[in-house]
Amino acid sequence: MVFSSIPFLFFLFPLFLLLYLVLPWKNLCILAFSLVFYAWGEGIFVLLLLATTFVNFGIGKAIAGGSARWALPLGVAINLGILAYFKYAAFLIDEVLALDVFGSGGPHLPLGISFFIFQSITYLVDLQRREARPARSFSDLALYIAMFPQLIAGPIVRYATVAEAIADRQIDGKDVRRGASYFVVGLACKTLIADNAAKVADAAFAVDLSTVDAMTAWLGSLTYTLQIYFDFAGYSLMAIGLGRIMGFRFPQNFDHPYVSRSITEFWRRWHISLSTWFRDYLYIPLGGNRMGPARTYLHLFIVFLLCGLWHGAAWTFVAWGMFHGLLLVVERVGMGRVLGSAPRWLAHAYTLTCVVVGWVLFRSETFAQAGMFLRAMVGLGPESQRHFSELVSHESLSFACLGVLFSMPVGRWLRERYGPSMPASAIGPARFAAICCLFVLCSIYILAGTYSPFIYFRF
Amino acid sequence: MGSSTNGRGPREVRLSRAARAGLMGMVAVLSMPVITAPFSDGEERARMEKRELAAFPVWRGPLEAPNYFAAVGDYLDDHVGFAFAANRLLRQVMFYGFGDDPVDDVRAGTQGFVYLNDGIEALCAPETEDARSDELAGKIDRVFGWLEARGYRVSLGVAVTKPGLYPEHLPQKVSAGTRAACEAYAASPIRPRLEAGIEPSSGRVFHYPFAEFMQRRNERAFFPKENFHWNGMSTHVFARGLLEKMGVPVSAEFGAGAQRIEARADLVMMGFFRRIEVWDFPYAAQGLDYHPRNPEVVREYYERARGFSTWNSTDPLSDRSALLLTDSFGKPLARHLAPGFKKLVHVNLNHLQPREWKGFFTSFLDQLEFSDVIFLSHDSGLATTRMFDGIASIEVEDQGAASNTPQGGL
Repeated sequence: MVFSSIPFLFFLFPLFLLLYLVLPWKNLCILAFSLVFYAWGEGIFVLLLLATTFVNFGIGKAIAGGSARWALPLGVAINLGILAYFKYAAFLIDEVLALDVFGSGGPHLPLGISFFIFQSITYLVDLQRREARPARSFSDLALYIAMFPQLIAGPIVRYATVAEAIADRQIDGKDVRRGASYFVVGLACKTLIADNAAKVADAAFAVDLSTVDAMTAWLGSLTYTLQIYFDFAGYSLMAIGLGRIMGFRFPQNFDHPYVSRSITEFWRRWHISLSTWFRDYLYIPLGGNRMGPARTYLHLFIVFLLCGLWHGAAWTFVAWGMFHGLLLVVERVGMGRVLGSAPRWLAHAYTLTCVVVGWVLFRSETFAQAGMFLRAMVGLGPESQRHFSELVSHESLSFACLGVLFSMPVGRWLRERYGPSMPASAIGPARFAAICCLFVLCSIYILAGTYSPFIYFRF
Repeated sequence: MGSSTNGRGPREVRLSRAARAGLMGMVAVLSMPVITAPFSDGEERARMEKRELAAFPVWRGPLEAPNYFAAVGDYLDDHVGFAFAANRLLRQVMFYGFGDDPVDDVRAGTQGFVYLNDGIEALCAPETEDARSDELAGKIDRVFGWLEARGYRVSLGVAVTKPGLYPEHLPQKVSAGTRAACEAYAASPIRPRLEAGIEPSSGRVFHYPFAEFMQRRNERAFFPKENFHWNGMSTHVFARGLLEKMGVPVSAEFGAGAQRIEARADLVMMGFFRRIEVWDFPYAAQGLDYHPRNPEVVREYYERARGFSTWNSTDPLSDRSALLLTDSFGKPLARHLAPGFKKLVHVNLNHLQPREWKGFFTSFLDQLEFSDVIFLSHDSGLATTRMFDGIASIEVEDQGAASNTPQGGL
């Protein structure tokens, strides 16, 4: 179930809010709803979520006890083992080892497994490092791992971030207002910009490979660049908003990554919770930058190779990760200094070009497809075979333009430019009106999305 | 009750009054579509979308939970309040505001023209349809022969559709090759190949007035640009020409009293209704009487029959009776042909199943007395029509039975 669906938005979510408001057992309410939320789409695999939580709770107790040195390695191994089985078994056995055991099948991939496994590992490692106190009860840990706002798509939250709030929190009117605003803005990012960009990207990537011309390739790659950002950032913003409504403060997960002037900066702005996870739980334990330049570069490369693999069990994801790892290494070696002294627009263009090329790899189903797109983008593809309007509607174009605009920190600029001169009494109502209009627009799109006419195949 | 931030004290989650008010407001707003669901017009929606809406599923145990919840989701999608209005609003904005296709299967052309995507491709496929045309002509020839052997006069009409008639309004979204093929269609429509299968000397009638339609296409309200199907003047002109070819005397007063009226466009799949201007012909002199879903005996041979009707005329142009077998283009045409006959029965064959063919084309035809059988297909549907398969298969079966019959005496 996704937040932008009718069952969630207009049925389960208001039902949850009502129960949350009325019932005294607020944490239990969140936990129960989170399990229903997960079971809605994944059925019996909610037991996997609970079992994982139970195992981590036990191992967490052992770690917190201080005497069991085996506890953390065992816990990490179990968590990674679960992830490896469900997500990577088919890829490792069929693709890497070329044994062709699973064919087109393989274990079912439970939704959000990459996120809740990483959160579980976070919990255990933070306990070991004494950066977090152990969960007081199984239900507390279950609440942290299974909390529905960030269960499916993050952000990856540290236990210490929410531990105090789980035990004790005050929810003010500002939390509800702010949370609702984040949710609606995130909903708009997903429903209006990402979904419209997806129509173009999907159409472009679906064309016959032999007909991929420059226009198709650029349209597909640029709209996918918008799609993936607004989809992911939108969902994160919705998660942060939902958390805020319930009294939890999740960290920001995206900070306008497309304004970056280097890939290094990009990864400080893109999926921040994941990049910090890899930094804190893989890069630094490997040695980070403390073992000389050569080892630093190797660590960076390994981290991003695994980061690519984390995104999906396919060679194209691995290649995407390696591509970014390589760029980071290059920037470390010296390119970063060049970018720092280059004109802003040039550094910006370099970064965006690298990011877009990376997304072509990420989106493509095969290297052949990625190759055709990249060749066409540099003018080595066939002559143009289709009209622009065959791929892009006016609606998609309009929202794509808005996407380009809002991929920049326009809100911040507007606040800085006009905020001081606006009367304080006008800001609140203006913001409220804007949020309401945005919500109505999103609702129209979501409700209209249920239209499913049966088209006679014969007339 | 005290609070604690060190995890040792009792737990507390406190909501301020403003937070409670905010949450209540959110509950009220978010639950409105589900609360208003019982008041939404499911029948109208089902009619518009031409399908049955999802029913609430039955719980079949925990192992089937994902399927159950997915079905609940489908039920909510189909019955949620405001969906109808939201859909209508959005599609209108897409069409009138953005100038885009309101749904995937409809192409928004220039100056308000709309086309069905399938219809464009089917009519204007760049590659030739020689083999199919030959096969179709042969099939038609056998069908005509089979019916004539049973004493019927047979006619074939082919309805003109918009991609060939108004190719210049096709949108840029239609590939250049297809648009060029549509523009070239007028120079070589399918007629010659079909006529090759129909012997004019036998009295068979073939009517495809593409040239006449091209001459008259720019007359006001000739062929509603907002429609998929023809209507009004285009159907009247077609009917007049067909009746004349069939030998039905058509006077100059045929169609007198016609006037332009407002009607609803037929492409309801767009998600909203458009008003169109169309010619209305009263045929007052012929005294038409319309009976939908009649004769009921149709249902005995054609289980899923929906589009069938009987037209009676008190003062017809001839004393003949006709059976009009068509695709969806038959309904707008039927009332313009009806004045030519004392009785006209129209049946839309789109949902006739192969297992029903023999019964329908033998027993049903034998039950009702017709002098004429008229087939109608639209030109973009000819390549895939199965209208003639029923009789063609019976005819082949009869031939097969005949060839198995022992020849001569013992």
